[in-house]
Amino acid sequence: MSQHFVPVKIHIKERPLDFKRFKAEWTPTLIVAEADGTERYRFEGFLPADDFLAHLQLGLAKAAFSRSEFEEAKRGFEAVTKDHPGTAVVPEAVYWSGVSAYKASGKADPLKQVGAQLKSQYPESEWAKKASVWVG
Amino acid sequence: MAEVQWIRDPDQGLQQAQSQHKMVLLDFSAAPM
Repeated sequence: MSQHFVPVKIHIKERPLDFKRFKAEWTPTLIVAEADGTERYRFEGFLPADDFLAHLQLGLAKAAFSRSEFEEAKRGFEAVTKDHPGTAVVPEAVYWSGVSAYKASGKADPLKQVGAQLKSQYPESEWAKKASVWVG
Repeated sequence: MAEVQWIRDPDQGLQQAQSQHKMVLLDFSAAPM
């Protein structure tokens, strides 16, 4: 984790004003942000370790996507599916890996591929529904 | 998970992230410490 992040813990009793500053309305709230404070991703509520790490990895990939670093974002989203295969964020990571590949290449094939993958592997997920428009 | 050295001041964390070219992970907590 410290390879990618500087970890900061803000306790409600010590720094209540920082809860307001970052609009944290529940605990735990985790925010992935750039060094200039730009928020890239947040999630709320306790999660077991594997799910927690999957969200952090998803947050890193989303940050790369927001910086228009689409190749890095694609690798990051693929890493979520590879490193945390049993977690609930995998369909979302699959979806965004396709979008990142599309953004990087300008070609629509990756969208069709992930649309088909989501339809066959995660048919009940909302991400399969979102990607359904890409599948003929 | 390996033990994490948490910083307690967000501005210090942001400053450190800038100098180390990293992102920050802000953990808003109410858990007993």
